[in-house]
Amino acid sequence: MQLRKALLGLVALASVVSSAAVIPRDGGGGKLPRPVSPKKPRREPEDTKYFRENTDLTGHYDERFFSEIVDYDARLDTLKHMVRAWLLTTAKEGIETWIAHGTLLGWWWNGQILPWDWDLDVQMSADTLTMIGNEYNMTRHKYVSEDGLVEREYLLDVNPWIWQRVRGDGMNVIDARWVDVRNGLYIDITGIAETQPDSMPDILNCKNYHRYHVNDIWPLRDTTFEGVPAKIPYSFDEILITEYRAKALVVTEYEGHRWNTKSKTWDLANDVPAGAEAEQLKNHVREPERYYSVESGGFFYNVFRLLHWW
Amino acid sequence: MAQKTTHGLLPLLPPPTTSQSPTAAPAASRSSRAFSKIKFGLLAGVLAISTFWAYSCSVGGCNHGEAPVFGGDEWEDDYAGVNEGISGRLGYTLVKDIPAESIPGRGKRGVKKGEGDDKRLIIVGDIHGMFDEFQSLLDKVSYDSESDYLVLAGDIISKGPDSLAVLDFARKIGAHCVRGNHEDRILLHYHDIQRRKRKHHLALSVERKLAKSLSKKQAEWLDACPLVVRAEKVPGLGQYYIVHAGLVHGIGLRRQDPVAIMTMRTLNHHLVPSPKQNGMHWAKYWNKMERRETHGHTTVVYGHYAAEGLDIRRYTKGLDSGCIRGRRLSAYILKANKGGRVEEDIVSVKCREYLD
Ligand SMILES: [Mn+2]
Repeated sequence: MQLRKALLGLVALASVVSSAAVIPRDGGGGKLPRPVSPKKPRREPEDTKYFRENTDLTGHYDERFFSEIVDYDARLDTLKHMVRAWLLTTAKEGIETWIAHGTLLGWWWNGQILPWDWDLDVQMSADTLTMIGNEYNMTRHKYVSEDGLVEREYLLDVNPWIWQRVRGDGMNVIDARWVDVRNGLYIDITGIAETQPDSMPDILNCKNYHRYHVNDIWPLRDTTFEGVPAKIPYSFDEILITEYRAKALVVTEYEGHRWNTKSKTWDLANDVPAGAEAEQLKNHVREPERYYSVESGGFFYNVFRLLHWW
Repeated sequence: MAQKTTHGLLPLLPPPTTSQSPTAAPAASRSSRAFSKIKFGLLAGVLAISTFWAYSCSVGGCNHGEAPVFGGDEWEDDYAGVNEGISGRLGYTLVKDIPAESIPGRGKRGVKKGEGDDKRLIIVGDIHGMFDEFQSLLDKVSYDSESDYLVLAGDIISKGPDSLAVLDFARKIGAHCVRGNHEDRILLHYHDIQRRKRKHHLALSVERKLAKSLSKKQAEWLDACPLVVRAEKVPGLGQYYIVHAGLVHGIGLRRQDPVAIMTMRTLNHHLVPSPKQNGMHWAKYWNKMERRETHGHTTVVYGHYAAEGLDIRRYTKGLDSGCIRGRRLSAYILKANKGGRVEEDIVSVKCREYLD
């Protein structure tokens, strides 16, 4: 009798726990989506690290071309022309590439760069990456803006270690770069590939453990980004929700910016916390790929966990 | 499994531990067998709270104070819906209207008592290339292209045996359509094939083969399918939307995610739609909200959700009854009856087993 009651109690408890366990992952905590994982400052350069970065600015500049820290306007100007140049050049050369991560999130909102972003992310298939490594490595590309007022030059630099797909040391998460040679700001170019075609066919990985089903990427969608033709993954909304949570699609104040519903732009807002202040407020950085991968374990696991704790 | 449902319904659930407040502990300390059980319950309650707290700290951090700033809060608020313009940026045709004279009960002279009118609106769910079944369904409803306005609710092609035959037949009999997720994929492949400079690195998939086999005319017809077909002022019933997958209630068509219109099954508690099944069925939310309206109702007819089967509710009509998997192909029919009122009817036919 007592045992039965105890079991009943456990059942009730376990269901409470298993439902409670879901809450903090989506509803609780006051955490904001933060495009982090692909380009956090990495530890000191080790042997296999090909790209040298200017580390005190969390690696937003390529060290070889770094001269000084650019201001807000110069950075946005650099990034906008840089991504246009990339998209126009790849389209002209027939190189298949699409925008990803924070850059894709910016597209979702208004087809533009998120103004607090420091670098841009694009992806391509590993085969395409190998091809550009063979045919375009260390090539320089001139760019003139549509109005003819801006002239820039970019370096397409492919990391020679791209074949080292399985990440051992947390290094080399970037496969290639499109670098503005004036100041060292760059676009991350990442290749995705089937790493385990036998056990996980159709599952694609980038070096940073972002995982995609081949049908989530292809067929690519045609759209525009920063005013020029661009491609995005087929399941862009699912990918964004997996990487940034649904909140990233509804939060209208972020990193010192507020969404202007009239102009459809992110405007600078002094009263919206940014940087360290925002960090403190929101307490910690979230890790996108953990969101769906951490299972609360289900009913029996929770029963087990309770028993175990007793 | 239990979490699947709790996840979507979270905001509707009471806080899990309020009935087991630890402050009630002293009241239960009198000794009797009954109370010892209560004591056990309380202990369990405290444990539950602490487990919850520990778990939420480990998963989500202990910062339960500062809430983020949202466009809206929970279910009730119109979520920011800021993706306005995505339809345009992806080149979709958002909505087409059914001409008034084709809407049942809206003929030039209106519907007189004892007459009805001969106009019917017929909507057929996911055909998926099941040509024979599509034909026998049209036979069963005695389809007449003169008086009937036929709308195919997406996923007309792909998966099944005779996609192109269904397509040609639909064009021939003057059917209308909305764009389903399968049309979307095939058309994206189609345009990619037309434009491609370099050879595709992937092996020719089933989808790509189908896309390659489309003629220009067939592709153009499919490309003209909007995301939404709208029938306004259906007498006595209000407005009708026909979509492939669903809509989020309370958000204007222009602010809906166009891809979600073709893929959604559920909503999370920020009203963000998802093709996954773990959340609140969008149709459930639609009906809940629509029942609160006093006038000007909108009913949505859709397909896509084969797992739910034929799903007829007051303000939503789910038509994917799983034909491709050997279940049924269904048609939803609106017709003005002799009394002058527009009534609904559902007709379906048995399908052969094509996929398992
Ligand atoms: Mn579908």
